[in-house]
Amino acid sequence: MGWEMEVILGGLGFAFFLLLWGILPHRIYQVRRSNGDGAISSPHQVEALRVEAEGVKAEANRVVRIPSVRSPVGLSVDDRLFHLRVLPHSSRNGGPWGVLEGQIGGWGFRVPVFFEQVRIDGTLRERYRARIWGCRCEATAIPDFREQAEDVFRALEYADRLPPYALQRSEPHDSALIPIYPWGEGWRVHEPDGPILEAMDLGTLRQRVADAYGLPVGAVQVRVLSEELAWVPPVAVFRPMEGSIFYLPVAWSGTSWRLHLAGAPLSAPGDGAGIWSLWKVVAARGLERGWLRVPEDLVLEVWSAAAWEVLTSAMPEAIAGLRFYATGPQLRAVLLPVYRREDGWVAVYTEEDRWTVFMGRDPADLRQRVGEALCAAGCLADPQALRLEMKRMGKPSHAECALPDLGR
Amino acid sequence: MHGWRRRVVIALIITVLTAIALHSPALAQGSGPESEAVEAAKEELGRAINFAWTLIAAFLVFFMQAGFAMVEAGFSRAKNVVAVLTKNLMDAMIGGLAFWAFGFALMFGGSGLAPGLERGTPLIGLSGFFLAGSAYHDQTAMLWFFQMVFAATAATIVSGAMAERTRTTAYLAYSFLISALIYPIYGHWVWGGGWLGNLSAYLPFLGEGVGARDFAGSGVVHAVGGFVALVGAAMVGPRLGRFNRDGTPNVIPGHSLTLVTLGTFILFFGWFGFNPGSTLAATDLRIAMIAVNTFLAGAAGAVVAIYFGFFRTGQLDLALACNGALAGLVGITAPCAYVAPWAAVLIGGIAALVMIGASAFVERVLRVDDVVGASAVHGFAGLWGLLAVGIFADGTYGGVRGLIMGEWAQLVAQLVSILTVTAWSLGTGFLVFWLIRSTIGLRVSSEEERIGLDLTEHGAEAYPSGRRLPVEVM
Repeated sequence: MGWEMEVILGGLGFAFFLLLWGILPHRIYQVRRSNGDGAISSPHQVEALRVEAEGVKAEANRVVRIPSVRSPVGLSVDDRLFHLRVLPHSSRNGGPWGVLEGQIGGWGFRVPVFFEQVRIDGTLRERYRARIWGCRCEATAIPDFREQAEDVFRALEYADRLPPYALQRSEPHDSALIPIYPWGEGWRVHEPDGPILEAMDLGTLRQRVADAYGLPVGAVQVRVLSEELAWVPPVAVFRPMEGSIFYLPVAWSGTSWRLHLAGAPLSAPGDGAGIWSLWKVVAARGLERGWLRVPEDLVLEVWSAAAWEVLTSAMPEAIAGLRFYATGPQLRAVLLPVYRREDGWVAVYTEEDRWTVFMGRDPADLRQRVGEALCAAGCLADPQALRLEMKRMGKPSHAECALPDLGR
Repeated sequence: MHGWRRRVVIALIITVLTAIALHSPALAQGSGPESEAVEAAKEELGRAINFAWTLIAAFLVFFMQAGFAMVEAGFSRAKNVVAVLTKNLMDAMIGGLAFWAFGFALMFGGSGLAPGLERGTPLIGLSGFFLAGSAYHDQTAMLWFFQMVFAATAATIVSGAMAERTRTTAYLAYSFLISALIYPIYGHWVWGGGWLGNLSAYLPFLGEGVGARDFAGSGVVHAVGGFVALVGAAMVGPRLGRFNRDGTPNVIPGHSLTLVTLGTFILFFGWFGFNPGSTLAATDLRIAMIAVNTFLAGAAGAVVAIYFGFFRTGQLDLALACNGALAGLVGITAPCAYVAPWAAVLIGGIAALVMIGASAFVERVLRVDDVVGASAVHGFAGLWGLLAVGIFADGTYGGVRGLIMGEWAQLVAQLVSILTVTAWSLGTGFLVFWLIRSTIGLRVSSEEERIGLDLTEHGAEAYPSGRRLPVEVM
């Protein structure tokens, strides 16, 4: 091979490697990023639902609206600064003494900090305490309190997110809480030293967590954040008629109904109309994403008597009923009251401590849906056995046959 | 004349006279007893250099145990690191002892490669047990040490695949059996004068002198270890949470990519003893080309792997790059002495692709939980290395010629060795693990697995954990 050929080959080789390592990776990077591939979705990138009508708002978690005054005491977690502010009229007897506020991944939060005087080892000591996402922080000195709070945030935060939901494991000696993080439009659980478990819906995720920990699914329960940032059982859950995709727990505090949908928080006023507003938004998103075929596929289950009372306050009087006869030691009639709303017909299946709300386009559609659900649960042998009676007959009765329990 | 100038002149004169003396025709040609003594001295010097080289190479290969330990620890969770490190340490120790007692004799008896290794059959060796008798010889010891570190390498491959849920006592029992029986018997067939290395005696149509070639052990070490690892991982079952009910896999991240990378570098470094050291002679200057081929294949494997991952996901996957480098190194291990540098690049790159495809196959089709990807990196890439000999060998070393030289016989011999090593490793691995599972048990309990093997099996933590934060549930 002559020297000219070697030079040419060397030049070609140089060009090849320049392409391979200089140009091509950058082009691939640009293409992937423009397609949205390979990027971890963050709350910033998830489309926030902005439905202003009917009082449904997308907003960050907020605990207490307290104006900030005086210079803050800074907490530093991974180069982010959180502020511990003393309130201008801070209370040393019961009310909040200060507020811990900051932002993680677009989530603003304000946590009330309380001051109290307690007797420790016979000595009267001052103590600062707060509950941060269910974790109790308390210390007799502000620097110690700050350190604890920093540890909590470090442990809670995952990929610039804070958990809106959690799973509680009910084991004899351990009721550990497993935070759930929004991940794209689904959910992710990633405990230290644990597998990464992901699912589009919380029902599937719950099953996978139970399997990973070797527990029956009933031993793993969903928890939501209350306005006080404590972990509480949800008062209700949106779910589809069939399956558990699109399983959405709902928190209620009296002032608002709150849930997370596709990585974005949603809230509505805590009155009876608020939950119906949420229903519309959730159904619309479900249709958009293909989780629901029709809006009436969405079912609401209410697990709290107090929340149920509030919900029924916004419902008109029942004008009809669906009746079937449940077999058992005695034949007894079960009546589901039927209500007419402007956007459809509603039937309620009442159990001991659970109210399942079905929607239908019209009475026949509602009857069909309820019949199929009761059939699937084994409460009815034949959907046609459910009879629609246009005049209400007696009070709604508690059923003894339970529909499938998805989350409690 | 000043003192220092005088010294310089004297030194120059001495140097010139010495040079003349060394290049004197009388010295160069030599005659009589003096030249015989010089030749003998040169031969002895060469022998000593080869001894030293082989032993130093063996030390490098032994250091690969640290590399394996780091890689496996890095891919494991923090709660199981002590268990992983214990397995890595002890399988080298137990494996070494087993190889001393039985393995070496079964592997090299009958090869005649060193004193005391005269007796054996094409299937099994029968001399050299305990390095006793006539095997108690410096040359035999050198050969034993070099081969022992290879045996320890094969044994330790399995620990990564079965990490995080395998009982340590069961694993130690396996370590003994693979080093005493599984590895040496197959090794005898290829390196110890057995039937695979002399395939033409049984398949005359291949032509004279043709046999399965595996220069440094893609098959003997890596494929054996990799497929025994696959069987072991399959029989011990997946970790909790690794697969969902519908069979879809979940990722269980390791705790330290720092350790994985460090381990990869250590392995890469040790491979320069693994491959060039297999010449058993520093006077064989082919060691330079072998080292070059080794590096090029490892580098190509890393580049292809990271590129593949980047193209697929848009992200540069460090773990994939490390495994790609290792796959490239495994792939070149068999053909390293027989191929040209351009072929080494190709072999390494293809080995990475083989590894990636095999990983997906093992995870999604076989649904086997291989913590570190050992079966893909060592098993399947090892098979590719064996095949590569039959394709890319260019006849410049040892007369081994492959398909690119128009010879098909070597390819056939390599295919026979591929089938043999796969069947042998899977079969004997299954027997060993079935035996262990039926007797002492293979897997820890679910509770022990959730707590972590460090505390339950070893009573120690690699990273002592801090206080758990109290969480209130209303």
